[in-house]
Amino acid sequence: MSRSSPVSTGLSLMPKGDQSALHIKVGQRLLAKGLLTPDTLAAAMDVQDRWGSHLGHVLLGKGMVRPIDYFRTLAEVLRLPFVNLQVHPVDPSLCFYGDRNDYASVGLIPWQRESGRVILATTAVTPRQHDWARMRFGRNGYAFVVTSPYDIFWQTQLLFRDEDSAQALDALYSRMPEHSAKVTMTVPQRNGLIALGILYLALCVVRPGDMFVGTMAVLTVFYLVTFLFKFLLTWVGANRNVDVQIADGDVRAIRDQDLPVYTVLVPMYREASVLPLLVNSLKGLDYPASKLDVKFILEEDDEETIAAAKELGMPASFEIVRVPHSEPKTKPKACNYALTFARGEFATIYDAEDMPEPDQLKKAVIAFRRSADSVACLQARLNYFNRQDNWLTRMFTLEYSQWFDFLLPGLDWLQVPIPLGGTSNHFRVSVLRQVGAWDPYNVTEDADLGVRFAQEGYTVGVINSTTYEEANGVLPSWIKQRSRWVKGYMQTWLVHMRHPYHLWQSIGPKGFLSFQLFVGGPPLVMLINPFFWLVTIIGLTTHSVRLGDFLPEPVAFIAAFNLIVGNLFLVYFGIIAALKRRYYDLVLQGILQPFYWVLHSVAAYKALWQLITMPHYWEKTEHGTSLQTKHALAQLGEVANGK
Amino acid sequence: MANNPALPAPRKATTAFIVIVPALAFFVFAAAQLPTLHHLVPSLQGFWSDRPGQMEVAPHAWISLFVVAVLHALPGMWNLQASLVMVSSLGAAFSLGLLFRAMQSDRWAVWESVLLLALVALQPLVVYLTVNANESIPFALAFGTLVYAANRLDVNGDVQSQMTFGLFLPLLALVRPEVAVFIPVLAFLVPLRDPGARRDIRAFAALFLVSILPTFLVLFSLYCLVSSLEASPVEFLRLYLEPVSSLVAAPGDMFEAQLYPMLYLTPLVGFMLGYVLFVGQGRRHMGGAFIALALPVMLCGANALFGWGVDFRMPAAVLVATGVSWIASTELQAKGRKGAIIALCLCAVLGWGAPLMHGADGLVAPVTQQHEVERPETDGLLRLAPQY
Repeated sequence: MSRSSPVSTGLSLMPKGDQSALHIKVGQRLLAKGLLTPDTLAAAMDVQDRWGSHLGHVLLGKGMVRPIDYFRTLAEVLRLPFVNLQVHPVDPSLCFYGDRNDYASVGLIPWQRESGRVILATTAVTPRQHDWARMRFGRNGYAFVVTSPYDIFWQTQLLFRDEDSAQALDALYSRMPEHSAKVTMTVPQRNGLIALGILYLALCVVRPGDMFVGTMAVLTVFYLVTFLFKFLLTWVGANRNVDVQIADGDVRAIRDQDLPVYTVLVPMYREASVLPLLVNSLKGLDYPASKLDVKFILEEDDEETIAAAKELGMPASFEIVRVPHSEPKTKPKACNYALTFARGEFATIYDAEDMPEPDQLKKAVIAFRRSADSVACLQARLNYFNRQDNWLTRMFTLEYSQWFDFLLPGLDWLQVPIPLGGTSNHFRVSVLRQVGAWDPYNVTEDADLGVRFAQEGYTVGVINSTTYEEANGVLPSWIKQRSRWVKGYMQTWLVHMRHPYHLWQSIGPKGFLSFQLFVGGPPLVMLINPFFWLVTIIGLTTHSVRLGDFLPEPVAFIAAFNLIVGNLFLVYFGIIAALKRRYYDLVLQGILQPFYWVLHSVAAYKALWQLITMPHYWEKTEHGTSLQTKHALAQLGEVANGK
Repeated sequence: MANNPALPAPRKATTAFIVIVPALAFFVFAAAQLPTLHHLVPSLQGFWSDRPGQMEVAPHAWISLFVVAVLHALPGMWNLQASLVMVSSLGAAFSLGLLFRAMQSDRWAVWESVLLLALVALQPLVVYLTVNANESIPFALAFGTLVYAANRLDVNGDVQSQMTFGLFLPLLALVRPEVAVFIPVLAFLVPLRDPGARRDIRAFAALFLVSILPTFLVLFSLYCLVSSLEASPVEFLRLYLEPVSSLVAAPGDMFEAQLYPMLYLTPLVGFMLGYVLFVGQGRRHMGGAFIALALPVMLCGANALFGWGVDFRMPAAVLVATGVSWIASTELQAKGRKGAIIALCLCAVLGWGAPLMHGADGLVAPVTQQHEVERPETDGLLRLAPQY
């Protein structure tokens, strides 16, 4: 596994001594021009050794100087012209899609042709740029002008938007169509389902009694197995040793200069209001700014958020990626598009309202370094910062605590596929690219990716770091979000069950069973729960229905066990989850979880309807609705206004 | 670890079946030979039941009732008494197997584990519990598992160990309603041992709740399952409250009777006290040791004071279970392991030797009134015990 170095800006390509001297010269000239204060320069010089980055990276990463000023000054030092590609764009006939990765990694792009020579706009002039140019244009066939990395990034986005967009949309489908949810059900799946349905209905007509008992028996056993599996996961997940434990001492011990470039992908859509909070959180990350590669992934028609992002005056390591319009307009498609521009050895995803613990990236790096190469992803834990908002946020918090603190670590311990959570999953970028990244047609692309990792022989771990998110406390919005999740699980199950035998072979019997219970099981349970609740309520209120009257005794006993013991213990697991997080205020609230399960079923029926009518539609979750978020935004506003 | 002679490397690879299979064979053989032994050794008369496989089930001893109901449901070709002996022998043998696994995890050498467990199997009380096939087996196991869980709580202190302890507590309510009274007392130990909970009343209450909640869940489930909600919940609750509602007039006789079998186990108690107070001072497992020693005493006292009618040999049986469970789940040093073996060896010698030396009237205490044998008139699990 090769380690990326911060080379793509072109600043670190010279021999170290020459380069240091060059950057110091640039720093001095910036000082002379009044674009830098002596204190700032001294501070940057102090940091550069510690971070293992050159002065240019430090100045730009910390936002101490504007990129255009820095590279304009660099051009002066190199005695070359500076060109602003936004004002004087490149000649498209000189650029080729096959070279697009070089443009980013070598830090240059063919600009114009003059007097028979190709003029290359570059961010540095080192042997590497010369070698690249000589191979393409001959010894005397080129010349350089200086530009900024941002200009090259902007220009390549513009030049290759259609190709990149098509890649983002259909790379996985063209590579492995059977792993893509572009087609919800294949023809054999649909025919098989129809045949089974007809057979089932026919048997119900011919032998209604037997079929009723048989159906009840199957569902009862399924419920029991699901409960036992959840019990096992919760118990295992409660062990303090099950997730990758990175101690605070380990984080302190790692040297900044040994850290690689880390890409942070932040897909957003119409979320201008929470942008300041997010930028604030990301600036608070305990990671060298010169080694951060933050991509705000915005849809090109989302002018409001783009304008808000520009207004924030972010450091050079924060870039805006504009995703060209295409359908379906989904988060995974946007991430795929941005991944093309990622420079890091590792990458992670944060949502707009996320507040990761500051040392999360360092913990991920340490965990990756300690893990085998087969570990493709590390999932950080998610939890909510606004659990006190209302009943819904409290239930949501309990659910998330159980999911990320118990169930996922339990799956990790069992070494079975882990459906990833939506954010704070940390990837090895090379592996992510190799497996075709996210499926843009799957609305829980994260869960699907976890299963695909397993199928390709990779594993997923869980690290002891938490990202705090905003719990959705508005019921209609919650239903939207949950219906998308359930629909995505249905999609994921359908996709990977196209070839059940292959799935069995690739992830093993344990993984196969876990996939059925963890990915296929929940939507099914949510759909059939209302039926059982109805029977129970009728039975209890009218005393007209007794399980033992129409079911064989073992089945009736298991059904009663599921109804009473199973449900009570599922409530207990939620309470345990609150305890682990030390959310003592939620311990008693946990008793109300069955009412929360009713909402799950409502969302599940909506999901089923959408799966049939609009499988790829992305139900957008509204962020920034919590009291805490509003309060924090107000505080930031006051700071910005100098109060 | 390899440099420390006191802590040999873990040997998890050795299968527990090297203990389970011989133990099972031994118990079945002992049961089969009991009538012969009974004739050969008259002093055994007062000590053992002479009816191997005779199930004496107290009312609402749910686990025992469940076992009997399942055995009843077997085809007629199965002999109930033989089945009961097999079930109890299997239970005892697998319990020894689990102890073996626990000892392997705690770095016991294979020979040490096998020797210690052989000594456990040879204890007269253990043989009695097993071949008599009565409710003592689940009774002793429930207490033994609690000590194991308490030790895990001491060592790990994580949510899993808190959860495990809480999940094991209802076992007491399932083996006999009378001993359910210990559950709230034990549930308090979880928050008490947590420094954070001692400082924060909310944390204390939450931890207590998490510990005791499984008991309520299990009891509620039990109420629903066995009565189909037809019995009054008050009647059901009374099962668990009545045992401590009145004192007997003269508890002394029963108290004395219970002490006799416990005398055989003096070396085990001495070893545990010695290890905790001197050798292992300052180490963990104090909580586990406290529970291991306190539970038999509490049982002994409550049985005498409230007239529960628990077999007079039961506190001693519980002491064997809790003591061995503590030994198996405590990371004893080399000296500690040898001390445990010697202590159990002495217990076996005393157990077998004393009655033989003193004849039938030696250490054998008067047999107290036993529960009547209950044969649930059941035609299915859902109607397991609608007596209340």
